[in-house]
Amino acid sequence: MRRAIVTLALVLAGCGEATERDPSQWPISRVEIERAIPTDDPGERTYRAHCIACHGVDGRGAGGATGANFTSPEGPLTRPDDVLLVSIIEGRRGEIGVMPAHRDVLGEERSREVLGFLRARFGADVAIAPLDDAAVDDAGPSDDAAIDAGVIDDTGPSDHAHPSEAVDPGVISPTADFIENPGFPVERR
Amino acid sequence: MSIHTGAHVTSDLELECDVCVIGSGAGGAVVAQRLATAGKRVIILEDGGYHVSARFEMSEGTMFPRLYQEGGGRATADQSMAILQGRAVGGTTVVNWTTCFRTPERVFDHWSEHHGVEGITHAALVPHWEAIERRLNVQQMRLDQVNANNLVTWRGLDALGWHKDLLFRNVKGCAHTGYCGTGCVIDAKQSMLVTYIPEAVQAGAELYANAWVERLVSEGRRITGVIAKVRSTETDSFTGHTITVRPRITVLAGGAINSPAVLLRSEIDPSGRTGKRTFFHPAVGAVGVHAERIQPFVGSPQYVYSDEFVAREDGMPFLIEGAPMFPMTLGSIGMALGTERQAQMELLPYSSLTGVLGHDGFDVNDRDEGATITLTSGGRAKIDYKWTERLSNGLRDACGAALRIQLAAGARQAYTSNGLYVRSADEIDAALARGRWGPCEVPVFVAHCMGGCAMGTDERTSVVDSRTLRHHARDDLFVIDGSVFPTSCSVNPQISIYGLASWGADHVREALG
Repeated sequence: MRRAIVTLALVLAGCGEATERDPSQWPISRVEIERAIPTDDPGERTYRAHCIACHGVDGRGAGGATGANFTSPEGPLTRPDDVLLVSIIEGRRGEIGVMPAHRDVLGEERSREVLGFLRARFGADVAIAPLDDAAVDDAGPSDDAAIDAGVIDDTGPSDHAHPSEAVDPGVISPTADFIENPGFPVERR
Repeated sequence: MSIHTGAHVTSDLELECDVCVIGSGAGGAVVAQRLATAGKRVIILEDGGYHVSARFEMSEGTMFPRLYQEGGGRATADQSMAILQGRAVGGTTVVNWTTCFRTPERVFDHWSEHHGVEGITHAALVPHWEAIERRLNVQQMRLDQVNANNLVTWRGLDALGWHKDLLFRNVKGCAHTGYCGTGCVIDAKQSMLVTYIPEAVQAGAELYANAWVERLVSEGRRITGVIAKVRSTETDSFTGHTITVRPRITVLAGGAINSPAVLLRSEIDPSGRTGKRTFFHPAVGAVGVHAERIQPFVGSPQYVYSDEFVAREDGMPFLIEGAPMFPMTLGSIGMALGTERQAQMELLPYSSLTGVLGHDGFDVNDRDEGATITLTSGGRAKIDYKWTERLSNGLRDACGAALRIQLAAGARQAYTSNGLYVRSADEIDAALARGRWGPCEVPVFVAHCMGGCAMGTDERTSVVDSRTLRHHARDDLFVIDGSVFPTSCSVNPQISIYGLASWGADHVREALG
């Protein structure tokens, strides 16, 4: 019996030791492969450099787990370009989480390029919703509902700008007001 | 003249004929067509079902169980080798990848020198091959047809300065769908199912599908009956009905593994050699991950090959070929589990596979005996492969060659099925030395089943007379399929078997008088 216990203890001790795996002995990351693929599209280059980590090679954001799913017919690509440019530049706090502002890394031109790439690569089946619906949808309920539900913590300081005036009045909100006056938000800030 | 399935057989049948052909694959279909068109009364018994292209669903999950032996799960007893062998009217020719090679002359030389093979020669088969290749529209691929996956292997071979050439395939109007392995949906593949079988039936042959030959009944040196148990087309289980055929001549063409199993169940094994020396071309390979979309599941499976290592003398020779990757193939190759497997699967669209076929059975010191077929208590074939150091080292070298090809073609990373990852050619030797190459340490797929009823002239060391393909111990029994090869044939075997079957059919005709 004692021998059995000793044996069992040794076996269990052995179970606890995880084998250290040499990191080189692991499949190459898909993002690394995607970034290495030659492309003439500057928008695609920008996407690979700044967006792919969360939104994924396939633009689906790991099924919405790490970023918005661009291929979804109800996803962000239903919004007009000017609305989306604000999200890219100023960041966005949505149901999934926080997308950082890219005002310091992407100017207007590169933002427009990457948006063009998003529509071409992922938006083939996504219809752009009428302006009013898109604006209303974007400005309010989803974020607020998420905040109310406690999904998004908006109490602490954030490095990322939020597109809602309620949180950061200094950042212009992508509302009908902005759309009527589509000066680029970076300039206005 | 018709094709009957298990559903048509509603009572026990007793049938008479000139020739009973057991099996409808590369061997049986050709023999049946040759004899039926010569006016002989032919009955074909086939264990598998009768499936036509309208029922090919382009899905690995449904078609492997339908068209492969043991539902696609055939393997050696120790599970070290997965065996893809067809089971259907048309046999493996329905699911093969359409690669066509004639048996190389050096193989016949080896058989003659080391296995006492006389009578059948390369030259004797040439006229048969010519006729068959015309009938099956065997043609060489053009470089502009080659898919991205095979082009990687081509580029790698080119960069290394190794031999490379384009493959021949038996297709007509091929749309390069890539679904060869689950049955050609447009009947472009010139398999037995759409060529020799319909011709045999047209000429009067009766084909019984879902008919599993349990045993041959002997009286002295004669076969007096072939007993088959009928299967349900729905469940594949036995219906309780039997078919008893009383032929003048019996042609056993169940293929390697199944032909020896029929002989063993029938207790026809005077030399004790039945089921011995069964060979498979143990196959390994290397996956390369490229900074381009390869989509290795798009296009025909194979277009290119290399003879660079087929004549090596310092170890097991091997043949290099481009090879496809389907989700299930990649998902079932290799030892990776969990997140490692997930990471590999995510890379599938960027992945390319170079396959390598080991030439087993060629060690002149005879330490390379391949598998032995015996019977389980239920009478099914049990397959035990004798894993040797020569095989382990050969698989290691083969993986090394495949890794080199993938990296030379620009892979960002290449890996083997036993989990060795390399990013540059400098890392290959260390990786191979680190790898483990024994049974169940390096996953092996096999798709070419050969041997087990070796032909030769010495009754003590062979099962079948190589001058006629007649069984040494029975006057009216011929074995005409890949099981008669004394070694592996060193190339994808379909053309080898067609040629041998056509040649053998002449000897059956002679015996019929």
